[in-house]
Amino acid sequence: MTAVGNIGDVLTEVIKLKNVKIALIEWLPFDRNQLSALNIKLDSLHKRRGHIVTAIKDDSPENLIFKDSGVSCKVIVEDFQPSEYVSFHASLNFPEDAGIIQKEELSGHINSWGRVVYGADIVEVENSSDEWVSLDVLTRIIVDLTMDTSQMIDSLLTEYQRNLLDLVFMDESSKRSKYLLIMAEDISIRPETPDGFLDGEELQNEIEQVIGVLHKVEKIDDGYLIRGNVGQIVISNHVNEFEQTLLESGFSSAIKIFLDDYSAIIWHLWDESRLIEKDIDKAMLGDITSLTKAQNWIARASSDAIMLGDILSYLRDSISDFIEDLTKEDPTRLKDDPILLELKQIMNDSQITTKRVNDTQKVIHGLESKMMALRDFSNTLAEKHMRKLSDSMAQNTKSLSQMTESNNRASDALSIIELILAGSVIIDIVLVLVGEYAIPEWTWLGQLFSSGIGNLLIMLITVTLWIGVFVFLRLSKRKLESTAVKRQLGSNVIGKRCNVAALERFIEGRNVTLRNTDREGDSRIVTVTCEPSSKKDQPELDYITLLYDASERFLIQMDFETPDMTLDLDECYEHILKEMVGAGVFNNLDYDESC
Amino acid sequence: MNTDELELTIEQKELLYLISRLTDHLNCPDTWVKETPLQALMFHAIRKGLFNDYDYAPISSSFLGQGRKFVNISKEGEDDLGDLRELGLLETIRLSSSKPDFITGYRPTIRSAKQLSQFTNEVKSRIDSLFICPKCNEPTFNLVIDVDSSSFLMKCKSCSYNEDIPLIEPEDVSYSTKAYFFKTLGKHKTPREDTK
Repeated sequence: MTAVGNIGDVLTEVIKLKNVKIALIEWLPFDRNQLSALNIKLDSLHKRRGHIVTAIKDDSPENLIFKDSGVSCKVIVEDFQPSEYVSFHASLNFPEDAGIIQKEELSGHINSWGRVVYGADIVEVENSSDEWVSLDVLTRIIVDLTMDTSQMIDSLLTEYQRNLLDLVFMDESSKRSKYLLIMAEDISIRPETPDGFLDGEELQNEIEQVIGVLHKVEKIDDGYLIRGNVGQIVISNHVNEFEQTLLESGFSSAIKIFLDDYSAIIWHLWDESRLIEKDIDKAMLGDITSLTKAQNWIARASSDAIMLGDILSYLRDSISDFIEDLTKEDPTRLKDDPILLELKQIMNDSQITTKRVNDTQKVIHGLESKMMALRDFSNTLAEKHMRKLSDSMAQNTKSLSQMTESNNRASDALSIIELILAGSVIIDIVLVLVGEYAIPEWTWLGQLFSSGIGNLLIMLITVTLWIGVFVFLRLSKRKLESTAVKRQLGSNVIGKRCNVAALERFIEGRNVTLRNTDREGDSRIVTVTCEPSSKKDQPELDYITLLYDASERFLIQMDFETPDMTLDLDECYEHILKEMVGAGVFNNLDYDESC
Repeated sequence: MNTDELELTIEQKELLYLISRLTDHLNCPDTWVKETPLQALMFHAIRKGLFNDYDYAPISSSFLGQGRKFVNISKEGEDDLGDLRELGLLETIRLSSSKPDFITGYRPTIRSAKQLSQFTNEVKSRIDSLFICPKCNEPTFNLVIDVDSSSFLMKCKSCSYNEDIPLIEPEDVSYSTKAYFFKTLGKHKTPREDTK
């Protein structure tokens, strides 16, 4: 019993292996073009020097420097053919827990039909001074190598390949399992018969925690071949003799492992489609939310189905190339060779796998047809809702038109009142000047009024003033109206990733007049209206409205309004955008925030 | 098989009592405990020094319908679950879930009641100690699952003290490897004729 590493249990180590070599085998969606791109990325022509590789993309070509995530993996190409294969030596330097020291160097081989093999020779293990390592400890090493090789290969794949893997492994592609091949020179326990390993107790338990469900144990040469559903352990001093067969059968099993996860996703999609049917039923009863949910699901599932179809094509081509590669072998040489049986088995396995791929394709076709029908159905419902919306809008427009007419009538009435009011005002003014009642006749004014010309003159003056005041009132009103409608409105779709914290700081520095948050699913859409900053060199703006998705960190749109008709809206937009850039609104990388 | 004559190991007794306690099968005969939370409790118990003969190891497994994870599973524990089923003391149920996953449920059989009544207080108190809060000593220390973050923790209802169960965090060992190139791949490839 020993305590090793940061393991929180005292291990009961029963089986130990001597001089262990490990192969991790997996299938990845590759073709010749992608392999060629990989060789370019690895700079394979300058293979001696090697490069540190990373999955980080340069999104800021204008910047002088960039920062990595602190994780490094150095790859030195050993051998390659541009569109056929690449073999490399990799040194992994990934962060580990405190007190854990790991020096991981391994080989990698990727070919154009997606066969990926990593090879590692275990040199030293904690608490083991000899060449023996227990299966309990080996399990931890294998899990570590499995995850680290996934992280390493991720930095070599294209975005498209990563998307395909994320789909099949539900965004947990870094934890995907690989087919395991353990080659050792000796084993610490040798039961009387190979079946002794299948004791149903501690021997079998220890083996099963490494290679899954134990299928059978065969005596080979001077050792054993122990087969599980996710790996094999080969014990022999002449393991090289079996290497090719083991790698071939390992690759066949790796395809099967991938297909298991692939099939799970297909059935999950199929099950989900049934739930979506219920949402469409709800939508038929008028639940718009359900319709939105169904439409979103169909959009996502359609994209998933297309990608699943792509994976299937890659798989079919891979299996076809794999079979072709196997049949290139010399049949006369293989006739009396025990490997022949193994090869035949692999051929059979490949054919069975091909049939599974075909079966899966049928399911996908069924799924696509069903989604097509669901999409048509939901579109019909959407159209129905659109028609309802359109009818409602027409009704609203009609009401609005009636209101406008009514408003015009009220305005006309107001004009008449305005006219009368102007007259009254003038009469009042004139009466104030000349007096309402008796004017002594001895005054010049009295004499003037007593004459016919005088009355006429007074009347003319009154009417002229009346008209003058009326015109003045009307012009004042028009001026007020024209001032009220003179506005320039700028509306700009931005559509950029943003740093929400910086954006909110940018907004907080201004007087916010309206903030509206709308949650739908995972998204949080925020609309904020604020006044512009009051600097001298600012264009004259009334307000700025920003629309952004806070959860997706995405600035969607910016609107602003100015009363100055001479302002160039593009310049205003550029000015505000410059202010936002200055405030770090578009520095959206997390590590920038932490630096 | 006569259950009176069964000779169970300490670990099998602890496991059967744990499931019986979780399902409260005498009072709630239609209750099952799900496999993943049971695995979490077994893992937690091993780390606390219970289930003396059990080890655990990280094994790639579909987890709570959220894709594959390396889950710390005890193969000895799984084996004992199988043994208890074969002895007719446990039964299982399989059901599908809303996630792309199937769930296995466990519960003690009616036949296990007699076995359980014969267990010593020592066995029971060892398992009961898992559910006693180390801070306030109240028996309100229960498993809480957060599916979204895939986290399991033991949390006290009385004082809110909690302990994380790192079920999907593989533990590390120090080691070093060197690259091993296969003779049958790439430039190292030798024809099959020469590999005999």
